[in-house]
Parts: sequence; structure tokens; C-alpha cells
Amino acid sequence: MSTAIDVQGLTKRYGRTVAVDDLSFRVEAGRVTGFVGPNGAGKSTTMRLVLGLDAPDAGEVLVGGKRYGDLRAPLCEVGALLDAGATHPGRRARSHLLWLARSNRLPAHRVDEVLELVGLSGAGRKRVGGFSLGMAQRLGIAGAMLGDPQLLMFDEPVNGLDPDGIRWIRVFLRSLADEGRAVLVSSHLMSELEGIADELVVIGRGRLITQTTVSALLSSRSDGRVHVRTPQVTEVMTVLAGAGGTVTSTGSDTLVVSGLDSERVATLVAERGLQLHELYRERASLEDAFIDLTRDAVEYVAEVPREPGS
Amino acid sequence: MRSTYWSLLLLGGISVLFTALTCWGSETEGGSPGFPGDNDIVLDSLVGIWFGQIAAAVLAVLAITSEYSARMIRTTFAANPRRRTVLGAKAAVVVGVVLAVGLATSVACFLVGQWILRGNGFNYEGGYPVVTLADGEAFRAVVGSAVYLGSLALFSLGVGAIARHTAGAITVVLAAVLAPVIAIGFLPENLAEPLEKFSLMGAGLAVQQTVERPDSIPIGPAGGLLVVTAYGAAALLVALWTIGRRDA
Repeated sequence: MSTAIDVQGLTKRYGRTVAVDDLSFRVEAGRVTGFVGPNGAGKSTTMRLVLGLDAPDAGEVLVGGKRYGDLRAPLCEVGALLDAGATHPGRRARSHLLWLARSNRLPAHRVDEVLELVGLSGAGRKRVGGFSLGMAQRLGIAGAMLGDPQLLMFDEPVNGLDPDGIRWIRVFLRSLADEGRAVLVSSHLMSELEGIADELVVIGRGRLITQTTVSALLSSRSDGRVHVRTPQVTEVMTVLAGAGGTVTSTGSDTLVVSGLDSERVATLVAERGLQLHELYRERASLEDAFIDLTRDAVEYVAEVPREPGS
Repeated sequence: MRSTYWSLLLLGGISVLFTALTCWGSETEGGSPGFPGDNDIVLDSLVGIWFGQIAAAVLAVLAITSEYSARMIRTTFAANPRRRTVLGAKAAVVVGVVLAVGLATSVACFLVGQWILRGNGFNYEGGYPVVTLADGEAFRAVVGSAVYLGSLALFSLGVGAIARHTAGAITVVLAAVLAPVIAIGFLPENLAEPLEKFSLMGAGLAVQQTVERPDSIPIGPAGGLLVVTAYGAAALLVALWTIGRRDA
């Protein structure tokens, strides 16, 4: 079973801008691979290159070991949602899917099956131009699933969805990977991928920054600061400082400790018989890790207004 | 797609309408059996085609440019990466439909035109024997008009695929069809003649002529057909070449 997507040395220029710069990475089956980067990093361009919509200036990309253009029935191997608006507005949803199905010799009942899968069974006869963004995204997903492909690519599928839709997509993507398919999801927001991505390919300014698993990224970034809430602030501060921790008071009854892990803090406090109302350890967030990684690669930076009290 | 039906209706409707209007205003006098005046009644009855052709051209352009403007082309090419095949299939369907409707229109124009003209004095007594479709030359003019429309559609489709932009493509096609006609009115004889022979509409008119006159287009009907199909084929070939190379 060959690698689902194999990108090697991919380069694409538009005029003088280098959109994708010697990019290489792999996407494997059975996993959700998050494709992340700031706006303008080259995510959408890379996906277009995979589908043969654009021709690379250098390098190549193989899908299941073959070039996309050489696939006999591409929809049966790769399902992609790149642009939910890429439809004829005057056409009915069912007709649009039917045309897609016929072009790849898929039977008509697949259309009804995918409409049901995404929850659009009742909207089959409506014209696509009248769809809301959420419905259009679902229709795009339906189209991607028509051929029951083993590889799925979604470009920012969460854009414009309401919380219900977001939750549905996250569960859906996860289930696809659990079925053994390869899923590539691009996003410029790490928070969207939190909890569903197994692996991350981080790019910036067209170049690969890192390809790693989520757990590896998080553990390398652990700050490990411990937050404590206690009515005996002064005593706890003394104890923890005496044990080697750096303690800062953050409120009338809260402290932040670095240099000691949460087990040690709990033991120390308990040994002295002091009261502890709340104890937790700061978890590194994917978002912070992402911002750190891509700090130098962000194209358009806005001034962040200083938050009061920070 | 809804606009397709409208365009086809316009193609048929406008052509017949203009044929009727023109023939209505057409009169002749003073001829006698065996000595016709110099009207080419077959040509005259097919005049509506020159108005309906615009509908055919627009239809063909939209068949391809609407996909680009709706960004649908990405979906199409993702599902069917063999782009040349896609373009070829579109061309076959569009040309086929225009040929069929064009032929029906052409026949309708001819029949309506002949009927009206005969009422206006273009009959046996006036020196114009009855012409029917069984007549070789009339048949050629009618079928040739349909072929003209089909080639024009092919040309329009090709331009649309190259330009990938609706307004731009329609402008180019209309300019190619109408500009030479306007220019011929202004240019001196030696420049006007090649334009008449090798422009789209000039060559198309040549296919419809059945009477030799001083102001006839100086190219035979077969030559005219060749020129017109050459336009269509050339546009298609260039389109096929570019479509595989460019980004979607």
C-alpha cells in the first residue's frame, strides 16, 4: 500500500512570487494530517498542485504512487473539497452530483447515498446558488465522497460553519481516518484541528517548517507552570520557594509556580497540612506552538493591541 | 442550463423574424417569365440567419466561459483531468446542437421567406420561377447556412476557451464577425475583396448565393464553406493546445 500523497521538491511560482518552495512531505493512510500555516503560506496552492489544477515548476506529487492526471477514475481514489463555491449556481444540487458521478462512471444511487451522508437529502432539488455557506460545504463534502475514495483532501472545511457544523465535521473527519482512509485537512487555525489531527505538516512562505505528530509538538513545548489557589497564600509561597520553585502571586488567593511539577507542589503543600482549593498544570496549546513555529513566516502581521492587565 | 434554452429559442426566433421582416419589405416589378430581375431570392430569404448567428455565438461562448466565471472549471477538471477530452466533448455537443437547430432555422427561414416573397411579386410572372428545397442550389444554401452556424459556434467555443472570460470572448467573436462587414463598406476595392472572401461573414454569405451579380462575393460556395470551417477548426486547435498548459 503506497503512500497516499507523496510530495517531492514541489515548487510553484506565480510571476515573481514563490508560492511553494521545494516542499516535500508525505501523507499516510489511517491518519488525519493537518496541513497548517499562516494565510498565504501555500496550502491551497499545494492542494491544487496535487489535483493537477496547476502545473508545478519543479518537483512532483504522486497520489497512491501515480500522477493525478494518470488516474482512470480520479473521484474513486481522491475526494477533494477545495472550493465550495465552484459550482454552477443555476444547477440543482442533485444534478450537480449526478453530473460528477456520471463523469467517473459512478452509479446514480451514490448521489442519494452521499446526500444522506452529509444530511442534505431534502435539499437535492434546490438550486446550488441558493445554498448557505454551510450547505455548500456539505455539498462539497458529498461530492468528495461520491467515489468512496481512500484519500480525502479538504481545504479549510470549517470556514463559515456554525458550531454544530464544526462539530459534525470534526467527528466526520476523525471517522474517515479511523476507517483507514488518508485525510489531509488544511487550516490556518490550529484550534480547528485540536483533538482530531494526528500529524501536522506546518508550512510558511511556501516552505516546510516541520512535519511532526501532535503529541511530539506539544511535549516539546511544555511550559509546565503550575497554578495554585489556596487561602493560605503566604505560607504556600514560602514552602514552594523554599523547595526551589519560582513563585508569583497572581491574585488574592492564587499563585503561579514554575520549576516544580504539579505532583511535587501537591506533596509539599500536603506535608505542611496546608489547604489547597485548586491545582492545575498549564498545558501547552497547539495554537501557541503554531504561532512560535510560524512567527517568522507570517506574511501579513497586524498590530496586536495590548490586552489590559497582560 | 437555462440560458441554453433561451439562446436556442433566440437563434430560431430572431432568424425567422428578420427573414420575414426583410422579405416583407422586398418588392420587384417589371420582370417577365424568363427574364428575372437580379434579386437572389434564396439569399434574401436566408437573411435572418445573419441576425440569429449572434445567439449561436453567445451560446457557444457561454458553454465554456460560464464554467470559468462560476469557478466550476476546477470541479470539472478535478473530476476529469483529461482536459482536452472535456473540451472536445463540449465542442461536439455544442456544435451538434447548433447544427440541428441551425438547420431547422435555416429551413424555416427559407420557407417563410419564399412564401412572403412570392406574395410580393417574386413569382413566375415576374420572372422568378418557384424555388424549392429540391433545387440543388437552394438546398446547398440552406444546409450551408446551418454549417456556417455550426462553424461559428465552434469558433466561439474556441475563443471562449482561450479567453476564459465571457465579455472578452463575446467581444472578440462579434468583432471577428461584424468588423469586416463594416470595413468593406469603407475600403477601396482591392482591400475589400480579400476581406469579403476570407472573413467569417463574407465567406458565409458566399455559401448562400445562388445568383451571379456584380456585387456578389468573389468566392464560390465551396470555398466559402472551407474558409468558415477553417476559422472554427483553428480556434479549436489553439484552445486544445492552451487548455492543457494553463492553470485551471
